[in-house]
Amino acid sequence: MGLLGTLNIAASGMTAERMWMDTISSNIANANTTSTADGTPFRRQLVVLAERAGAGGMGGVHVSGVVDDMSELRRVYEPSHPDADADGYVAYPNVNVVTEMVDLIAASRAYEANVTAFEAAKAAYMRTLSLLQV
Amino acid sequence: MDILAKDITFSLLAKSLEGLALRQQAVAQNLANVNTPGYRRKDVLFEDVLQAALAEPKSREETMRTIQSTRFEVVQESALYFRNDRGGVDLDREAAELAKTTLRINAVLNLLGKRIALYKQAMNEGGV
Repeated sequence: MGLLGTLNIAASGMTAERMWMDTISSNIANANTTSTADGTPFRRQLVVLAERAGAGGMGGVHVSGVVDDMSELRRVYEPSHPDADADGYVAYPNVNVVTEMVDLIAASRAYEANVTAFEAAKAAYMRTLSLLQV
Repeated sequence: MDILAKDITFSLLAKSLEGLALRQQAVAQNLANVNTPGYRRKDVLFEDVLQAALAEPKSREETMRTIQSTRFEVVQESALYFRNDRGGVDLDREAAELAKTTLRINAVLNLLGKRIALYKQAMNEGGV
């Protein structure tokens, strides 16, 4: 357990933060998507992170869900747009690219922090192993 | 007969390594949950536990038993939070904790290595 458990915890953090970064990329890529597969405009997606209780209450973190941000869509007057409604307004996604960039920085810093924890645990493990060397 | 079973220094170092490894795990858990809303940071109190176990002078056998039966517990810090989403992890503090723990693990491992080298020397009748 001990040091190897630390590697699993750090890895779970890296997985969760990368999942968040994937979602942010998807939000930015679809910042102007007015029509998704079911015909509705794209909605910003949020990841929900939750603590995972493993052995001794320490099992890292996991993504408990990816949910749609139900805040208001951006309405723009564009009567000639194929997705315009009867009044000539097009509903654009509720994605704010600046918010996404800020989230991206937070996610990437958190990812780096997990990498540091991983490296520290690995170095300690390697040093312990080297005690066995004659 | 069993030399290591009587070596208080050796088992004390091994026990602190166990405590430090558990603390490193707690720091990793905190770092993994740096973006989890409502998470409260975890810590391991092991110096106090170990010191309390060795507070009064005892016989060698009893000291060994106390060291070996010492268990470390993971504690959760109170409702301190640093963020609007009530996340309880301060990234800078955890970075400092991780650095401290790593340095101390290195110190303990160095001491354990020296101890093992002593035994090796004794086995070689003082030669190299």
